Amino acid sequence: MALRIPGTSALGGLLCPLAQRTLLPTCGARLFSTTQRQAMPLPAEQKVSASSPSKVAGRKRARYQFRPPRFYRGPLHPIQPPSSSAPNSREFVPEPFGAERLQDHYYNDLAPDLLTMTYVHLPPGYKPRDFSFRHREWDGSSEYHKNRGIRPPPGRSAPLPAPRPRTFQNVPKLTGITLHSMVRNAMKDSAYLHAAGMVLQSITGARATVHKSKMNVAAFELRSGKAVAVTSHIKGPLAYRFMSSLVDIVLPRIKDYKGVSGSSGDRTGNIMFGFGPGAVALFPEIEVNYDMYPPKMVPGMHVTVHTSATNDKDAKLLLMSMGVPFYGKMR
Amino acid sequence: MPSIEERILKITNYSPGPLQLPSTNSVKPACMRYISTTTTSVADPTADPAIIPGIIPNHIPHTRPAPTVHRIASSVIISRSPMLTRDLGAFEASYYFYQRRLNDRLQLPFTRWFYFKKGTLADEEWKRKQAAAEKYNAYGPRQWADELLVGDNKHMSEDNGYQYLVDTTVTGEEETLSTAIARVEAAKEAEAKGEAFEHPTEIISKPFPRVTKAGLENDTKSLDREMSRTLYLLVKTKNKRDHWRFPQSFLVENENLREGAERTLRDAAGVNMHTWFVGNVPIGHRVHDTNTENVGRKVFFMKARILAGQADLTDNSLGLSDFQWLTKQEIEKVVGKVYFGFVEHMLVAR
Repeated sequence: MALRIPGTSALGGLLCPLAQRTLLPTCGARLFSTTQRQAMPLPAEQKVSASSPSKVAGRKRARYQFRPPRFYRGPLHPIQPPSSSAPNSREFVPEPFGAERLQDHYYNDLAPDLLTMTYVHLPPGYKPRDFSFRHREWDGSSEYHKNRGIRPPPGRSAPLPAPRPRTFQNVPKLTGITLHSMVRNAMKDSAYLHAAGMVLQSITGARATVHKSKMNVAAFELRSGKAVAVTSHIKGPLAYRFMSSLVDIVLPRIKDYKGVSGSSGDRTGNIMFGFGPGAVALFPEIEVNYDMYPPKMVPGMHVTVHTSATNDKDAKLLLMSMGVPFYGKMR
Repeated sequence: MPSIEERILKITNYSPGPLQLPSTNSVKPACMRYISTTTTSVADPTADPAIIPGIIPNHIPHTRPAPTVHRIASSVIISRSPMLTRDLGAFEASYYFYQRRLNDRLQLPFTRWFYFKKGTLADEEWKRKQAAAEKYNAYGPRQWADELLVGDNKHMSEDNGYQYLVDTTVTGEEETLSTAIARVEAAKEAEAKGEAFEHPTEIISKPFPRVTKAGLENDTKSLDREMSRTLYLLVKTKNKRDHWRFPQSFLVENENLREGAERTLRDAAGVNMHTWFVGNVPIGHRVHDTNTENVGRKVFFMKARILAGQADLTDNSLGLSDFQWLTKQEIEKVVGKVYFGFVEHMLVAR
C-alpha cells in the first residue's frame, strides 16, 4: 500500500524512462501508446543495483529530463511545480488501484435507502422554520464590537447546524475518519510513539501526525511541549476501506463487544468510539506481522467518524447501515 | 392530530377538501378509498393557504380539468441488492492497471532478505513461486516495458487475479512430501484412538465463479442471476392487455400506503419471502387522469428489499400469471415506454 507522504517523491533520477515522457495524462489512454518501440535501443549491459541504481559509475542519464523544482517559490516564480496529479510531480501518489467495495455499496444501496428512510414530505408552499434566532448579534454597547465575528450562542463556541429538509443532495455520507492515539508512555520512552505511529500508518495507509502536549497535568504526568499523541486522518476510498475492514473483520472478533455507545457523538454528526490494544491487534494489517512491533507497544486508539449529517441521529443511522452495532439508549 | 385521511389528503392533494365519493358510485365497492380533487382550487390558488399567492406549482395540471376523485393504489418496488462487487468497465480496469504500474515504478524493490531468511522453507517457496511468475519488474532491464500492449487483456482476468495470487503468494505453510505423510499418519492414529484430529493448515476453498448457472441459462425467475446488479420483481397481469408491472393494488379500508404495499406483496407473491420495507414514505407516484366516470387513479410506489425466499404466484388474488426478476435495463424492454418513464428514476442505475 502506498503511503501518503506529502512533499516527497521517489521520482528522482531513478525512473528515467518514465520521466522522459513528461506530463503524462493520468488516464488509461496509455493503452494506445504512440511511443515508437523500434527506435528505443536497449540499455547497455551493465550491473545496476536494484535498490540504488544512481550509485553505478558511468551511468548515463537521459539528455534532458524534467525534474520538478524542489521548493515552491510562490505563484510569481517562472518555474512552477506540476500539479500533484501529474506522475512527475514530487507529490504524486498513484491511486486508486481498484473500486472500493463499501463505497460502491453506499452509492448503490445505502444512500437511496437512507434518503427514503429520512425523507419528510413538505407540501408545496411550506415555509421552513426560521433558525435565525440562533444567531445572536453584538449589541454595540462597546466600541470593540465593530468588525467582530459572529457572536456565539450561550454555552457554545458556534451555533449548531440548522436542520435542513432531506433531499437527494444531502443524504448523510462518510466524509472522513480520524484515528487518534495518546500514548502516555511516550513521556518516558519515545519508542512507544514511533510504534503507535507505525500502527496507525499501517492500519490507515496514511502518514500519522505527531501532537505535542499543550499543558502540564501533574495527575497524568504530562509536561507541555512533549510529543504524546499521534493522529491519522483519512478520507474518500481509504475511509471506506478502513470502515469495511473494521466492520467485517475487527468488530466481530472482539470478545464480549457490546458495540458503540448509543450516546456517542458531538451533536453535529461526528461519532466517536475507541478500542484497546487487544482490538487494535486484530486489524489484519497488524495481525499479519504482529511480531514486528515491539512487545506491549501496540496502542489503543480512538476513532472519530466524520459524516456529512447535521445531527447524530442521522450519522448513527448511516453507521448502522454500514454495520456498526450500537448499544444502550440512542441519543 | 390529523386523521390518516387528512394526512394522505395533505400528501397527495394540495387542496384538502371534504372526502367526496363520485355521484355514480353504484359500480364501485364502498370499501375502496378515494381522494377528491376539486378543480376550483387549481384555478384559484389563493384559496389554499398552503400555496403562496402568485406562484402556481408547475406539477398541478391546469390545462385540462382533472377527475374529481382519485382512487389510491399502492405499488411495491421490491429489489434484491447486488451480491457481488460491480463489474469494471474496460476503461476503468485499464485506469486502475495504469495506476498500479505507476505505483510499481515508484516503490522501492521488494527486500526479499528482510522477509525471508536464507535457507528457510518459505524462502524456497518464494523462489519457486516468484521466479516462475511472469511479472513486471520496475528495476530490471525491461523496466521501460510498463505499458499494456493493444489487445492485451491480462489486467481483466475473469477471476480478478485470484488464480495468479494462489500461484504466487508465499504462505510459509506449504507442505513438503514428508510433512504431508506425517500428517496423514497422525490423522490415522488419532482416528484409531477415536480422537478428533485438527488439520494444521486451514484449507480455503476457491471462491465460486462470478457467473452462476442461472445466469448462464438466463433464468429470469431465479434470484441467483446478475449477481452484481439490482434485480426487481415484475409481475404479469392476466387481464385483456397483458403487461408487466410492479405488483399493485388499491388500498382498502383504513390501510395506509405501507400496509397496503405489504398486503399487495402478500397477495401477489405469497408469504414465502423475507422482506424489509424501506421507510413509510413512497419513493414516487403516478397519476392517471384518463378515466371513465370521472374517477382517476393515483399509484404510490413503495420501496422494499427481499432478504430471503422466492416469489410464489399460485392462487394469488390479484390475477397475476407470471413473474420475473429483472435488472433496470431489462425492465425498460419489458414494460412500455410510458410506464418506464414514470419508474425509471426510482430504480438505481446499477
